[in-house]
Amino acid sequence: MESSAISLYFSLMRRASADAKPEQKEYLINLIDSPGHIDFSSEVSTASRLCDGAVVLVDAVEGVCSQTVTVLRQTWIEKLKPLLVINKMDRLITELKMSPTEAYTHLNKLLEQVNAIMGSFFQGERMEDDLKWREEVEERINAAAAKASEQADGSSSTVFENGDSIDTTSTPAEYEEKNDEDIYFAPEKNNVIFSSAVDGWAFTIKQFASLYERKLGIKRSVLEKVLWGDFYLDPKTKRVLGSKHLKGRHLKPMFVQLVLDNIWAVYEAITGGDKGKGCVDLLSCPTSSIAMYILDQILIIYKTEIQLW
Amino acid sequence: MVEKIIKSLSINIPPHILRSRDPHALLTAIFAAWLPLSTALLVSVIGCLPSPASAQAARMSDLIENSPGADFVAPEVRDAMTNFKVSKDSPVVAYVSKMVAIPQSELPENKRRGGSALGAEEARELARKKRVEIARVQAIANGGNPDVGGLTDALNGAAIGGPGDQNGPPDSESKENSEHLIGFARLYSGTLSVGDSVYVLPPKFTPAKPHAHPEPQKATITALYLLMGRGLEPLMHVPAGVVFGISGLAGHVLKSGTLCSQLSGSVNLAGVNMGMRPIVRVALEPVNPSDLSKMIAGLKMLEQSDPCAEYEVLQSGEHVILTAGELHLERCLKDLRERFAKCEIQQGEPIVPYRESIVAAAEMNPPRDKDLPRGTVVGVTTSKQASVRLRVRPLPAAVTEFLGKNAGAIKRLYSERRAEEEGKRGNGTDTPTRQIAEHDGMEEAEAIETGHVLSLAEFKEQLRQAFAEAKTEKEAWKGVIEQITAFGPRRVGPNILVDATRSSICGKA
Repeated sequence: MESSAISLYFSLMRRASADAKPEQKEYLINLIDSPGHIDFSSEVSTASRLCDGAVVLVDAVEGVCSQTVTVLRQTWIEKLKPLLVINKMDRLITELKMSPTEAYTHLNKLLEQVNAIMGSFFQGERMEDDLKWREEVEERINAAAAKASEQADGSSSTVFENGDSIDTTSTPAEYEEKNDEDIYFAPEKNNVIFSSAVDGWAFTIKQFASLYERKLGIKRSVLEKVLWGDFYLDPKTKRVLGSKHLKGRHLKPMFVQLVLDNIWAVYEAITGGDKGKGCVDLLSCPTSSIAMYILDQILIIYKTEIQLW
Repeated sequence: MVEKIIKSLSINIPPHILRSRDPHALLTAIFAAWLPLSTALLVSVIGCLPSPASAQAARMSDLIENSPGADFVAPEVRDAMTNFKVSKDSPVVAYVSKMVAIPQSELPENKRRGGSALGAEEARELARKKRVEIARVQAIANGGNPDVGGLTDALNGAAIGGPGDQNGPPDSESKENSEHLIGFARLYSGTLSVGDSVYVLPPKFTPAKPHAHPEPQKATITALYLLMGRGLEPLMHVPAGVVFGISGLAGHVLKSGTLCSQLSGSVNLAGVNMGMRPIVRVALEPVNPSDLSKMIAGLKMLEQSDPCAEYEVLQSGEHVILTAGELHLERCLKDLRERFAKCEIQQGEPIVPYRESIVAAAEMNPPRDKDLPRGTVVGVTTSKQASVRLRVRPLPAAVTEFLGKNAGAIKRLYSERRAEEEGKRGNGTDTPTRQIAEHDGMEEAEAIETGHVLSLAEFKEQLRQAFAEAKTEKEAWKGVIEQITAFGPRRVGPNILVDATRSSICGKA
């Protein structure tokens, strides 16, 4: 059980805008897979020195475990930018038999847990900084006081002026209040991936936003922001509503309606589901109304394959 | 109904999967077409995680600052690392995180298949692999400047040693049994090519004293590999930012190290000791005693290839392996049996090292004899002529620290006194001088560490100060210095024996 590396060659066709000619970009991604067991944490720490970023996997059912905290701390210490993968999403469907809405609340809580850990690292660092800053200020005051008393021996007139001139309110740049916003995981920032490795699927909000852009006539940039969180789609006007404008109606959040429901529908259709006849009804509402534009906005080709044949 | 979903998703599923009875196959096929895992992950990685260039710009300055002797790192090295210089004339800095043992037979140089046994299917597969590999090499060579049209050039230019050739002769059996160590490395700046020779900096190296013993050696890179899981693809050049395998370091790098193209002003990235120490110790012995040498060789190999495993021989002659935990031990044993030693190995019970310490009075068990002060024993000789009373109590921290630092002074104290005694006993003056001479070498070494060896008077005075620093039990230590009879353990150490008899029977130190 050692960490092993693989280098992935990846080429991506991307359009700058909808009408622009797709541009090809090529990437070489060096991936190091390191074991999660506590006995091998040294593998994780050596690997993290080699890397520029980290992909942290969390089990959707088990949630945050002790090793998750260790790994997250490692990324924090080494200043690696982490990407969160919520894996084993299929367990929510087949094992826990959650409804999409339940799953959404569950995922929300899970994200909260992970962010709480990130927040605690940030808080810890803040407090340390704060302490350092306080000590520094105190030192300066003491130094000034000592200086003042020295002078007091010579001439007593300047003592008070000197004592007051220490500016305790100014904060040097390194101790300024730091913004902690960029350390948290948020699906709308595209640093969270929902996946089920065993069934071979994964998605980000961005992906679904691009899939729905044309269908709903909402801009992708807007969709990316509202697909996760308490936003709802008005079924008549096809407009996005905040939770305030619900006016007592019971709508599903957009993430449930547009994303989870579809995935659940596929599982139900294939594995039979619990209710034999319910499947057809289920399908008729969300899935049939979607046309997927796969390979449209994001055109991904494994270039090597094409060169070959 | 499934068809309906497939239609609405506008994806194609091959009919044989649609008809298959395995729902999982259908599930994966639909999802692979609809929400492929690799796409989501790789696109996010590209979108969210920084490229080596931007990551190094952000991380390197801190990393260099925290490395030993950071002030002596040459500006050009620092600049190349933070600004991600890929060009050939920039200084090369690479960090080898561990040595991986690869069976000799799995090295691409040796991995050749008999041409006759090759089926059409296999040949195509091989050809495909080769082309993929060439494309990859080209992609790497081009760096951020991809040139799709230049494939033919790449085919001509990158005739990468021709490994994977299907026409090579079958390899000899003997080679396949040995293990080959490959460094698992990441290049931070410059470009590394096969045949380059670079300085290998050991983990204790510091750029402040680049020529300190042991002076870093130059190693010639015999091969470079692209790591593909278990598989390896040979490369001629590696640009900065890539994680790669490197051959030719065996014997130079033990576990981790830094490679650098220059010696003075280089940076040591392996110096910071990370992670935890292994704690589970188990003695090992081969089932067949004649396999002992095999096992020892295997253990040495294991120690090198596993960053967390350690191997040591106890005074009792037991061969002990130290691992991080039970699972790690199991894994190490499996590796030993199947790869490194290739013999049956028996493991003993875990060894718990015996360590003792003196704790504060509040934390101790209640004393056995209530009449005596804590930590006291009284022994009476069989003849009832004499009784010995011994009391153990912790020394103030300042004192132990002082004694630990000034081991050299204590040593000299002893040698001088012995010389005196010898001088008194025998009339000859040759003996004492010789004895002092013997000790001189060691003292000098100590003196370099502590700055200088204290004279007896200085030593006493400073020891008194150390005692005075102690806040509690000041009374108990009063006048103790004049009563010290011995230092321990083994004469130099942070323990003292105090003679508390009224008439001071024992000799003073």
